[in-house]
Amino acid sequence: MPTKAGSQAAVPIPSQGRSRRWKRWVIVGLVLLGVGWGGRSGWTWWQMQQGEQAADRRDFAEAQRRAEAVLVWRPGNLDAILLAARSARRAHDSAQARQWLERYVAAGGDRSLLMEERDLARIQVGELDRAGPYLQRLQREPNAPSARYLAEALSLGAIQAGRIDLATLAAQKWLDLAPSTADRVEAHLVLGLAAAQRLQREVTLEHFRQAVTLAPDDPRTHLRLGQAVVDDAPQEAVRCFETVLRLQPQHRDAQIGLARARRNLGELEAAAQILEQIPTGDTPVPELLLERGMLAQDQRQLAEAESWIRQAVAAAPQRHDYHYALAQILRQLGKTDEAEQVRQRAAALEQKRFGTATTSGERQP
Amino acid sequence: MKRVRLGVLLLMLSVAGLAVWWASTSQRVAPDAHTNSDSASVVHGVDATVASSASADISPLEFEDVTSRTGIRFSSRNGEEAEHYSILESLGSGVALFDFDNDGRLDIFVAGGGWFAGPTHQTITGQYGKLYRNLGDWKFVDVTAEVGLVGDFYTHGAFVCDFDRDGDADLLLTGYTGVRLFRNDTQADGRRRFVDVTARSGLSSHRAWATAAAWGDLDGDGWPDLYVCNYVDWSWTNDPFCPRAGGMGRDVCPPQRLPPLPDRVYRNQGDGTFIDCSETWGLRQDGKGLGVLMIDVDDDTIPEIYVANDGGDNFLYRVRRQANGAIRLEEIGLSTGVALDDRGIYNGSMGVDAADVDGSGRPSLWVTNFQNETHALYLNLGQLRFLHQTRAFGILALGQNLVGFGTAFLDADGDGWEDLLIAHGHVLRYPQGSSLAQQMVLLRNEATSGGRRRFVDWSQRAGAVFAPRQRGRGLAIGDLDQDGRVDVVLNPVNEPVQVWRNLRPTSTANTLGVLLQGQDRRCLVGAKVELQFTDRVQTRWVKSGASYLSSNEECLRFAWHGADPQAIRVTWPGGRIERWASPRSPAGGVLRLHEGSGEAVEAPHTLNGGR
Repeated sequence: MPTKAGSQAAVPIPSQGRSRRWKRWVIVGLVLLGVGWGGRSGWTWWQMQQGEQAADRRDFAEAQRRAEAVLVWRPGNLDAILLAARSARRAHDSAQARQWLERYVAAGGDRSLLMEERDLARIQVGELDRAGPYLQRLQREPNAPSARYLAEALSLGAIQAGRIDLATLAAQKWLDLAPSTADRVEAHLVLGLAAAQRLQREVTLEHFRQAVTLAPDDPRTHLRLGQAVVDDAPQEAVRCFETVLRLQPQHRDAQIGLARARRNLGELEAAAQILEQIPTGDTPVPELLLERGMLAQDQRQLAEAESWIRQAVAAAPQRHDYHYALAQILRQLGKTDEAEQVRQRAAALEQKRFGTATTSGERQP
Repeated sequence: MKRVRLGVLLLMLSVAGLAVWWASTSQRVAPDAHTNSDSASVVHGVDATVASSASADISPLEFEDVTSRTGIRFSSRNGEEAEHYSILESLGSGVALFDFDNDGRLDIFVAGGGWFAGPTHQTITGQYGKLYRNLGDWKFVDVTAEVGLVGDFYTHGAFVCDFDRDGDADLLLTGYTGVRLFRNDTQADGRRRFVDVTARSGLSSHRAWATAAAWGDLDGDGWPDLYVCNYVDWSWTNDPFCPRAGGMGRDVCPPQRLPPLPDRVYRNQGDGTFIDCSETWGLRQDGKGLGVLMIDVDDDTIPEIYVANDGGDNFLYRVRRQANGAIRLEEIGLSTGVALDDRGIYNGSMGVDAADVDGSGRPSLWVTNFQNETHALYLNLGQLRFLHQTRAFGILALGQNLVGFGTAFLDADGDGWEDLLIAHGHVLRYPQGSSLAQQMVLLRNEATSGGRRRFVDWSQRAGAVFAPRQRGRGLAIGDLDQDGRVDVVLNPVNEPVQVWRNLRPTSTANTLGVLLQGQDRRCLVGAKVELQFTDRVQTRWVKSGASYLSSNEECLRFAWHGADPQAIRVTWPGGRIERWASPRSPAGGVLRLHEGSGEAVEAPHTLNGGR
């Protein structure tokens, strides 16, 4: 027979059961809350990682998308805003970059970074009046987190502005920082261009070949190499330009380069065919006009060559090498006085840009 | 039971592990195998293509090195073992092919170069070179001492001309601090002797560093005058230090570091003496000449003088014979388009030649140049206008890493179109982006689909002789075995002389050598010979100089496929035109045409007009 006490123990007390159930729900709730909070943090962290990796690949649109995804959940995340701002600036989207920077400051970001990003935006497009302090900083603190951005902006801007020494120095620093593969490609392209301006043929080819090795699917690497070897090794140039055209069939610079390479091989008919297939559009393309002129010259159609090269000079009056080409065709046509005037103009333009004149305009890679 | 389960589990794990390892290794190996097989097929594909074309068809162009058969064992020297890195070492030496003993066979003279003697290795000395008599059947014998061509002189060039019009080929040597003129005399015993007449001729006054030379009748008196290129004003007291590119130490200086030495022109007075007319005839006072060619480029039968300068505008002198008998040399290189390249800059020019490359009947000028430049083909458009056509003729396919020296137009394949041979080799001991030893190149003159002419590199298909690299300099062409095919002799720097035999499969019936013989043995440089076929005309010119520090054979060579020529036409210096119908190749393949023995042709001759 059961005792009273035993029967009491077997019967649950209602208030105790409610309390346990409540506690259980609290725990479940807390766990869910934790999971949710942790998940969101993990997700935003993952998005940031993806964004930074995209920036390393120089996929700046993707980097901005990832940063925006983070900001949906964490609107005040300064790292994400800075990633978006830098990516926009590195993609040369200055309006977008400015908006992001304003948001960065509004969210409590460091004002000095705002100033730095604004300066880098100007430097990277060749406005180098504020480059000095950044170059000093790069040399003083080569391992600072922002050093790679300084080196990049200085490299790209200096090469654009024709400041060959600065471009070489900055791009070499950039490479020394062991950046991502995509950034190394950019640095090699800058170093190659700088060496080409210095007429250092071997160094030029070395950097462009490195770039091709690092980024075989990037048409720009093949284009640069092709342009560098078009007179040295026209067969190799043909292969380079054909690779570009396989990747981007309507790439105009590659088409013009291929025509020149074919012309250099004495395949004038093939060169003419390539040039005829390039759509001219409304805006004159100086490179195309010049190549047409040079081809006409090789075809011994000197009057036609003069006409094309004059059009090229009119379309790009600042190009000293075009003036040299015009001077040369004028000399061949016996217009020696005008040829000399044009040659002097070419030398003056070259002097203005490079500080010296080669008398031929052969600087152009 | 537990042990059995554990065993099964371990077995399964091992199998799984092996499977993973196999998969990973097969993945790793597969791409490599694929790449290898791909690259192998590519490489073998190329080789196979070449090999199959080589084996299936007999190449229309082929040379073989027959030096070992000839008995010629000689290397000209430049003295670089003294480690001075002087610019004197950079030039090398040439070759002359001529029949010094009039036995109908071409003999070979190889200029000897020099070296640095004395306790400090600064005494510049050298040797004239070696003369090899052609015994036939590719046998040669050294007759240098026998003919008296022994002497110490740092020698560069060898230039052949019958300057005294006695019917024997005389020899001029150029080198550091002057020239040596040797008259070819027949001794009482019938032996040949080269007598040094430098002092007697007045040429001992030439004390400058002489390189190339050319003979031609500039003043129209029938006697060959002499043009001598001088290089730069270098000596031990003017020996700048030129740093080695990309390294420590020094290298050979470029000519830009040294002042030029003006060329000289000497009038042959007909009595065995020469008079320096450089000033009175109006020679330029600049230039660093390494190559010179005399040829009539404007069809007025008076030779022009084309000078290849190393690091300066190339010169083209037009000879103006004035009514009072005075001579003016008018330099027209810039205005005619042969001074600069297609970018409008001067080149480092070395070798020269000229030929009708496009069937126009006009001689186009050809110049070999330095690294990072293109060799220059100046197409003759007539009316003394030239157009740089290196690109249009496909020659840029060679690239710009080669340094060109000796060069010659020759119809290597016997198709009636002159091909182009070029010896390459660097002057710098430590060149950047290039190599000291470089390849010989043979460019074949071919028709394009559009009907134009173009030069295509056939070096890889013209015999194993083109495979080894060398420090090419002197180069001369001539038919050494009298089979109608043009052979080649090379004189690279510090390397043995090479004799190349032309093996092209062709019948001697389809070749013709033409030797012009002027009245009273007058100098015929400037003459033009046209071989007329039903469908085209082949044109050759009597020229002097050419190549680099070398002399080609005097005989003009023709070859053809198909029907025989209908006539041969000669335009003699002075404008007389003669014609011979149905020319036949005599025994030995050389047709001697004497001035005045042909059918006179009345043809109006347009001075400087071309066709």
